[in-house]
Amino acid sequence: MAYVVTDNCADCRFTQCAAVCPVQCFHFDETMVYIDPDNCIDCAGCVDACPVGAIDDEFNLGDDQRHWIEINRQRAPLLPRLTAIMEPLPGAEARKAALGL
Amino acid sequence: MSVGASDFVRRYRVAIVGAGPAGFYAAEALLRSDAGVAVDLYDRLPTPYGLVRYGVAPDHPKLKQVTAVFAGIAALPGFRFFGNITVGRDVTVETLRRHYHAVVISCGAERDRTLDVPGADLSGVHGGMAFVGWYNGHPHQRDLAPDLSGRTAVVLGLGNVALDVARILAKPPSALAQTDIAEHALATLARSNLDRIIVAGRSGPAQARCTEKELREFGTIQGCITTAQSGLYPVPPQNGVSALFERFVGETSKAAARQCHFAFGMRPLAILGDDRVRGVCFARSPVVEGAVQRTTSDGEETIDIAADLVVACIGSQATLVPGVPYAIDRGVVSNTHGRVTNAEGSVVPGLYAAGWIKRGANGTIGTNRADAVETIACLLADLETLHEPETSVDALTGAGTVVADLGISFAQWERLDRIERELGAEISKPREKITDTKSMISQLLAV
Repeated sequence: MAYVVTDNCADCRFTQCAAVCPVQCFHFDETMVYIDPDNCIDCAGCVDACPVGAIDDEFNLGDDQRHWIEINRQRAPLLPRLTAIMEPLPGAEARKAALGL
Repeated sequence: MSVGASDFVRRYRVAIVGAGPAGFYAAEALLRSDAGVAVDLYDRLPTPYGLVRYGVAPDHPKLKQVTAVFAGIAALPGFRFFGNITVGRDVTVETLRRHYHAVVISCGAERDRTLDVPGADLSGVHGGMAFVGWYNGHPHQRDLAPDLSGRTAVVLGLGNVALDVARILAKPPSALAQTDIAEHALATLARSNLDRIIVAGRSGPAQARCTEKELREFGTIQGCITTAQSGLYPVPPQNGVSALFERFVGETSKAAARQCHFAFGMRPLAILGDDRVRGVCFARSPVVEGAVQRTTSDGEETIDIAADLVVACIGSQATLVPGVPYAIDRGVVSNTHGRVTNAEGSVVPGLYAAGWIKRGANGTIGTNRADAVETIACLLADLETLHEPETSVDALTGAGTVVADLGISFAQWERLDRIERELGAEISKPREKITDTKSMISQLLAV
């Protein structure tokens, strides 16, 4: 069981998660970040670090979110590793506000 | 023009005291910077990894995989480990400051906060960090020998340490036998007569500091039924730890070999007993919508609960390293973003803090990475203003010195690591920890 990044990250990519990941298991593309489930050690540190609540234990995901498990698993290994915080994407704050957060 | 690794001059030397997560992440931030820093990481134990080895519960092996990251940091050029060196005794901080440009204190906060009630010193009352150290084979806690011959344990607190202790007490020995739990602890737990574990917190369920994942495990312990105090909500909560606690409420009627029960609004007033603990006296506060109102003691009643064992998991604090010109303030070293400040509030040049000793005992393993990165950013910004060391590092760590005589290198630790894994493999455990420093060292000398 690993933690999973879901759709709230898309177009935000705040990346506070990367600063507290003990094993650097986050990877990123132009829109969001993904957790490599083979490296995640289930510490849950990223869950509270995310300003838009995009990360959750796969155990908690509803049916409308479960597809993210496979997306994370497939995308992460193909993408560069995120080792430190990056600038959020332009419009991240607007998207956060639109999410009601 | 590219500069080859061999041409890279490490002209700055930094000592880090404490080889837990914060110490390793501080080392990584220094070694990966382009400022040219070499790092010596000291620990009072021959073994690295701090609370990853001695704090993380034996039945949570996945979290311990982070040690692979630390071993990777140890393999970076410019890194040295000196285990078995107690800073403040074998080497003073002042000595380190004479030999290094900077010293980073990252020795954590593993001393239990004192349970400040009458009877707290009775036999059968233990601190949570001490208890955790005992089952994890910490050399300083191996002789704790808790008496588990009684039937009722009271665990004070609702944080993850309390949950770890309660879970280890609740699990059947067969569920722990193939973990890296210390041999002495497994033997004692196998003889345990405890069949009732009461986890009593001052706060309400909505204020509990434990995490969902740790709490959820209580529904799955073999041979143990988990229950929780009922009637705390007009409408059952749907999310978070509150919902999980509420799920345990309905379990009361089931039968099992052991029962674990969560109680809320329970403020310990006294530990009861003559020569040893026989109970705990609590002030019991009303819980409203999952929360205890702290501002008033109105409506409190007192209640005595029989107990044969009490483990107080009420937080931990830093231990002052002797000879450091710093102040301990609310359990942490006074500091600004990791720059240590003295009693007058001024920055002590060349002295830094990272991890729990800097911010207190909170967060997850990775919180220490962000924390250490912040400290090291300050250190790197200060580099050019730091005093040149009075004498060389070689004069402290070279042949014939105390550090060279007593110190355990990372290569030696890796040998010890292999020995422990081999010992474990014989009995289907991931490792059998060697739990006293003398045996660790004699094992190394025997090879």
